[in-house]
Amino acid sequence: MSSRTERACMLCGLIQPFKKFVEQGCPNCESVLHFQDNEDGQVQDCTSPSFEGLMALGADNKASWVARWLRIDSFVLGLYAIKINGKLPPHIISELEEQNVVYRPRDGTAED
Amino acid sequence: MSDPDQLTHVKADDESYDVVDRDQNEFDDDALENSVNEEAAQQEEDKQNLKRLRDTEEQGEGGDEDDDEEEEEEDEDDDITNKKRKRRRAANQFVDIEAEVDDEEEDELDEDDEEAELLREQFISDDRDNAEGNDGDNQDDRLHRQYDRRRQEAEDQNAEKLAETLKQRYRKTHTVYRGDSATSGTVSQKLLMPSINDPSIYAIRCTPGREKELVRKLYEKKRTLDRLNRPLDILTVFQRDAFKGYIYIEAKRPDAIDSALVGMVNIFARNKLLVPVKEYPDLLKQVKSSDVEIVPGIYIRITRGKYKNDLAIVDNLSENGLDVRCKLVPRLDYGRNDEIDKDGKKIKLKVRPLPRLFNEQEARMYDGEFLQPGRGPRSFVYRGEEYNDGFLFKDFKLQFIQTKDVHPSLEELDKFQAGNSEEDGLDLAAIAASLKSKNKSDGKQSTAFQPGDKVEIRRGEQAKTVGLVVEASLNEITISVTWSGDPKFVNQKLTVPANDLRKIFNEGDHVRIVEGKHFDETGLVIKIDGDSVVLVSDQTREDVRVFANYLVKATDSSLNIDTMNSKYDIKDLVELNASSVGVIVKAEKGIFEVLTSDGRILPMKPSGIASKLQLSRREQVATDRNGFTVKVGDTVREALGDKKKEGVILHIYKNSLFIKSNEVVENLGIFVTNRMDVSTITTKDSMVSKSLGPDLSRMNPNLKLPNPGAATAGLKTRVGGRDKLLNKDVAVTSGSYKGLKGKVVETDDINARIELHTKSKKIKVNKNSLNVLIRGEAIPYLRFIGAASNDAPQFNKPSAPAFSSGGRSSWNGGATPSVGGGGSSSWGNAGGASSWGGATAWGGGKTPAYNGGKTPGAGGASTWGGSGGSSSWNQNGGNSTWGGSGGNGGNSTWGSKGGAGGNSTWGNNNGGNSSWGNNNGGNSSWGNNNGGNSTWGSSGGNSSWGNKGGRSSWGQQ
Repeated sequence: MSSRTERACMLCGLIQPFKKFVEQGCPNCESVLHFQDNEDGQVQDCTSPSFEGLMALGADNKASWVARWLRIDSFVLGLYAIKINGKLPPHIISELEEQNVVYRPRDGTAED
Repeated sequence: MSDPDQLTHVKADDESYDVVDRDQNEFDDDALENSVNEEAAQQEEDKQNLKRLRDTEEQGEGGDEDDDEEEEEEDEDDDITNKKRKRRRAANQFVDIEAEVDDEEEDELDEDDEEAELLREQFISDDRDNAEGNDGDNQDDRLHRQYDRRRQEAEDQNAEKLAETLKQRYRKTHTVYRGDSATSGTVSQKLLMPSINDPSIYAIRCTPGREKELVRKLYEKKRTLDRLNRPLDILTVFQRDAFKGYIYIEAKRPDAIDSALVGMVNIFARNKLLVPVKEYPDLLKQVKSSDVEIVPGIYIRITRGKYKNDLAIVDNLSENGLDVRCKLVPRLDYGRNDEIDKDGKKIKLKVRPLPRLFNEQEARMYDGEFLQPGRGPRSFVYRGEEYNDGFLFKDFKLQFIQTKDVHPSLEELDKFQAGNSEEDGLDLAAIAASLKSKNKSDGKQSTAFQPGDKVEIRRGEQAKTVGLVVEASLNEITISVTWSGDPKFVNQKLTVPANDLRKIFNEGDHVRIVEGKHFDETGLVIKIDGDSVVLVSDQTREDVRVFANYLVKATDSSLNIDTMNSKYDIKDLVELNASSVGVIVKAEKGIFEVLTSDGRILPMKPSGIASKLQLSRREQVATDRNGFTVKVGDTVREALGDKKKEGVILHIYKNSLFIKSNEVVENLGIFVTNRMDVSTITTKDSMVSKSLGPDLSRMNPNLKLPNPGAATAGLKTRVGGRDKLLNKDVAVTSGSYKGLKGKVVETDDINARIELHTKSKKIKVNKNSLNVLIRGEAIPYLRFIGAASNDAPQFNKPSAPAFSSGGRSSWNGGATPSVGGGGSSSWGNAGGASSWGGATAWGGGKTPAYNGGKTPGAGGASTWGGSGGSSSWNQNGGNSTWGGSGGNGGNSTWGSKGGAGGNSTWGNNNGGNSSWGNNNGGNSSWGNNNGGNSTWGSSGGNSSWGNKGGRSSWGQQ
């Protein structure tokens, strides 16, 4: 459990080792963030090594209030971070907007 | 496929695919696409290719990355499949049918399907072969038609459609993003607030530090059991760093938690706590309220590395907010202190260099090879790090900086000021932001503002408004405006955040510092410099620069001292340097006033004091001007000086006595004097009255002394110095302690305090009931001190003939001490009424021996009143003097045969007419006229001593 190399996806909060992000991408966000092969340092840009609050999401995620509150209720099961320091780079955010993906920073600056 | 026809087809096909192939070379997409849709219709494909060609030109980088990834997967089989594919791509007239095939399905094609397709293809081509056989000439025409049609169709496609196809395609390569999207609509977090219908969250105690591990374990456990079809009924497990020793499990039923925790270690399943529903959101809050938002300009501290605990200013943040570019004062030694070990390796010095601004010259001199010019004129790159205006600009990871409790000190801030002096004062707002959390926690800021303070609003719409504080609450201050740019505000009350206020002081105000390093110092404002104030400290007499808000007006000067932390205390004897010592007479914060042995008062910082002198009582001994020993605690009086100060000795250092007087006010009543200038009044161990000089009433020999014991005591103590009895071994001769032995530890006039040998107890005994043990011999007290009450010669029982004979004097028997010296002998006390020489020192301190073994009468050699000369005897009477009035006592002789002595008269009060050695010369009579019987001095014959009345104590017969 070497959490040193682990990073959290800034969009969905999933925690994975850096290597796994490069090799397999983020199971939730791969279609929009394209982590695989880490081109242009995508993994470095869009994941954060600094996160707090470890949360294990089970398979029956729809029933969980915690998952809903953290807006990860539709994501795959796995380990998620509750708070992630860092924000996606602006150009990624605008790309996400084009794809109608709503990005909420998970570093506590989100307002709604 | 060895069929030659087939081959031509292939050739023809290849030709017709020229365009496509070029595309392939240019855009990897094609290869991918082709391989995926192996059996896809050529036309459709070509269309796509063309589309994509245009599309990629339009969209630029948009989709490239993705394609690349996909392409790589396929690369391996490219070599194999390419030939196959080309072959398969034989132009097919019925391609339209296949164009309908949905891409999505193709994705899922498995190998069996592929085989089937191949077969089908075979079939179609066979079909075509037949056609070709019949109609070979048409082939060329057909190809052209095909190409034209393809081009036509490609043109028909419009851009929007292309985009959509693209998107479609991209989606399909991965799972669709299922998070919030604009189309699905976003739900405000307020609507997500938990209700009682939501699953419960339980807090479970666990070993602190194991929270994350436990969450992971539970996650694995749940997955494993899910796979085994024995799912755990828990929904989520989570942990927060802020809540140590707990993990939280979300579940619908509490028993699900029990079953989930079975067999887990480090967790205490019994301590299950249901979290109240309304606390759920707090549990998952992303920001702690105490967090300080990192924005450029705030102060932070570095938590790791060389700059640990150093103050830094945030210069910029990286885009993702993970790296913070900080400006700090570099700690560089330019490799000067590096040592090179045997292997030629550099050993860096462990001690980190002091923070100093970057110095180009030094860097060039000592470590020039690593120095490169930077982008600006005052910018350098040294060892890969950037220095600007002397400051280091360095990226730090967010984890390694501390934003809370930064508390920048003015010194640190001054260092940052050094570089850019042209800029205006300190950025108080930034400091305020750094101090925010601190103020929230202890509300210290609010205490700085007190009603009556004159303040100015620093920023906002009301900036520059001046007012008086009328009310101060935690962080909001209500002020009454006294001056404002807009007159209508005057005398109105405004409520302002404490951070926006600045105190106003005038030069000359006396203030006290309420925060920071100089806490509790007081001083006089000498300069106001924006937000900071320069004042002269009352204590250190130095300039101190503090923020105006750290000051309050004060009328008194600081007296509070931190006695707990100070090594020195008031009245301590301290050593300032090798040659001077002194006593602390005043202690303030950071400064002491020391009265040195030469009488000066020196202000001293604690660092200026070398050490505290701890002398034992035995070491602190001196003698006074009279040669008496003085010790700490003794009371002495100055013999010189106009005031003749007296006091108790505090410290003795060599010849200097530090004396504390109750009558002197300055310096805590402590003064210093030379030991030769003082005389002892009392010693510490004897509690003697302070009456000084001879008690004249007791000198009256005729005065009846009611208590001979008291007289004895009086005589004894007057001498000064130590009681002889002190520290002597004694035995008690009467009372309840009779027979016990002990040591005298303390005496006063009458009593002695004795420490018994037998038991650890001190008793108080009258001195007279003591026997002093000297060399095993018990000597009664009175004899010991020389009074010898019982053994003393009795004047009232003189053997008169002895006197008259003169030869051997019975006066002053051998045992009698000198009258003057002992001072304690009572003369003739056994007789009826008259006592002779009550309390007086007879002829001064050291009266010449009156005894001497030779009778004065006979020898006439002894002079009475020798050196003193001035002693008057029998003062009450006033008319009888003995031994001349002046200093020439020598003139009067006693017992001489007349001559010179004739002048002295000796008479008592009663008669006043008795003369001794009277004018007649040689015929001096002693005793009054009445007596006449007694004669003294046989030769004269005329002298008579003693009276008839029998009242005379001498010669009464």
